[in-house]
Amino acid sequence: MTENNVLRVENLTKIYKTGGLILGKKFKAVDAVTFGLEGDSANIFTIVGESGCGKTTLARMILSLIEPTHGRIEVLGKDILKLSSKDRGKWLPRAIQPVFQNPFEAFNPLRKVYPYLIHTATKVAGIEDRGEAVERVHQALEAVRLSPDIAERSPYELSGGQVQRLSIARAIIPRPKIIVADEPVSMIDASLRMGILNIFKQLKEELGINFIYITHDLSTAYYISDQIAVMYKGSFAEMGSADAIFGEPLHPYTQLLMDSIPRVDRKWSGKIKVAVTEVEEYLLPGCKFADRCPYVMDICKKKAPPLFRMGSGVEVACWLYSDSKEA
Amino acid sequence: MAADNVVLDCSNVTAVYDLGYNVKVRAVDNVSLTVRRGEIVGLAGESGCGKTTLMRTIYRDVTPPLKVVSGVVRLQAKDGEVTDIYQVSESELKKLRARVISYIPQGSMSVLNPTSRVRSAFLEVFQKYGEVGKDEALRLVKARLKELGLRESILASYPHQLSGGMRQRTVIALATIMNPSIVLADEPTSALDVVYQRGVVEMIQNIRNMFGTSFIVVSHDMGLHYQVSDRIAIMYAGKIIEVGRTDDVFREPLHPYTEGLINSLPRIGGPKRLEGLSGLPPSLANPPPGCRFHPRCPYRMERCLVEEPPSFKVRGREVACWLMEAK
Repeated sequence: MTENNVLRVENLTKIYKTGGLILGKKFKAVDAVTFGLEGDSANIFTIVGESGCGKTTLARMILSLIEPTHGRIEVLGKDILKLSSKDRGKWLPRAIQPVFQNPFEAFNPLRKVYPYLIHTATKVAGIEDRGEAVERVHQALEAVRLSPDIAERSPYELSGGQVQRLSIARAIIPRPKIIVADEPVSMIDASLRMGILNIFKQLKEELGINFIYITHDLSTAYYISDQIAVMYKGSFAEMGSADAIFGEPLHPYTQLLMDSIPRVDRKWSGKIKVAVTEVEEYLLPGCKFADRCPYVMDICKKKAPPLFRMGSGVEVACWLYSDSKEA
Repeated sequence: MAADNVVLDCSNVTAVYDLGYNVKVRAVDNVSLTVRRGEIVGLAGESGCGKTTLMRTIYRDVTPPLKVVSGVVRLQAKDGEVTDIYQVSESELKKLRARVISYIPQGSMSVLNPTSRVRSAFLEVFQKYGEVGKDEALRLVKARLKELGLRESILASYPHQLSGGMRQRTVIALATIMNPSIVLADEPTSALDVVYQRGVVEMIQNIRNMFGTSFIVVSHDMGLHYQVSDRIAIMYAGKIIEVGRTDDVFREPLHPYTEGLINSLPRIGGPKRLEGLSGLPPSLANPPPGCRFHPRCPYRMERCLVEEPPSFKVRGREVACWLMEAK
């Protein structure tokens, strides 16, 4: 493991138990996910998948909001599952910060935004000098292109786009190395969406902040990602550079996803196969996509495929590529 | 009615939310829209622009504080009879709603009763509106499901056993079982994963092709409009600002708002530097004078600040912008 590891996630698994004590079933929401953010420059790593694929559970584990069943998460070389309570309270929020889907839930509707941001600067970022804290808040507001007087208002007076910018400003006040953004633009109107995504790009380039961008939307994923992981039913189906994956999607699920997005430059043609029920797929012993896969083989129904590493550096969990080496 | 093949003619409709204390929100302001037989019209716009209010107005689903101040909504049944939906009695309205116009509100995936099988929802429709016995009704339902490519087994399922996409398609089948002339579908895909969206779009197009049913599809998703609609109407701050053939509008948007909206959509394989529209949509309680888009418009002229543009007819399109006056 190299020194400049920003984030390393290994074998991360979350098992939920459903049903009663005796007849209960186990349900792997996230199943042995491994990935990392490394390198000298900041990256935007996108996890794309449909609802219920486990992407939010994965994000919440990385944010240490829920505890994994097993696996490791290292942030800046530290195992965050073994942090002291002091580090958990002080160090972790300065390393990693969230931006959530519904920005209105991030702020107390009855309070003005400004004192909240100042509080973040003094208590979370640990700036003791009041003037410096004010300065930091103003820098953050400038970075998200909001004028400081907006922070003097209450959240309900602002639009969704403005409040989401505020929640990004809040997240960058402690100068984290990583921001985990879970569907940050899905509630924002189309005409304002690009503004938010452009801020992410700018923060990456100018402040060196890494992003884990969680989304269901492949078009915005294309727009901002450096790397992409396509998640299906708890595990990564395919992972690699955005250029490689958008250039030539390998996993049949990625191909299906690409074919089904409503593009504005190409009309759909042909038919696609849609699964009738959702729950039963989690119970399949082999590849979870086997039921819907047009290329299904015998082995797919018996044994779950490992990740195979392709020449392009893309890793793909599909038996079609079993000629390649296992990652 | 203008022409024989016009199914819905909605002219100069204004609907206001009267909130008391002299606060009146003009959610639908002098809107005219026609839908021809077998046509799928997309209604696009950002949240809060009045799309859903327009649908409710057309369906006469008008309860306080919503009031229809002026305008006429005429519907043509399949036998050619034209009715003004605001001039009929309650009992006639009930008939009209089953046989001429049908409304699928947003989130209607959850209209199915969770404690009874899907079959009973279909039978209930026949009990209420149809003039056939139970056995005949069931036969008709089964025949219809077959025509639409849905499995007969869904009738015996409980709603929770179906996936979201299947539930939405069931609701569409339910809403069209009495063969209405026109169906208003409000955000039919917004709660669905991309893979299921396509199934819903295919179904809407199938129903149109098989039975000549017209649709108004409301969505904030421009990609969906590109895929599903023949014509598209763009709404901004309570007004329809551009109407035209979908392909034409996407190829060459004429209204500056449409242009901004379409150019800000990320496209896979497209440029990675896009600008969102600047500014915010106006408050409908206190809209700006003149053209409502003028505070955000890059081509603003002095006239736009004071005088509201009428709808100009340009190359088969209707565009409410002063720039079109000369053309």
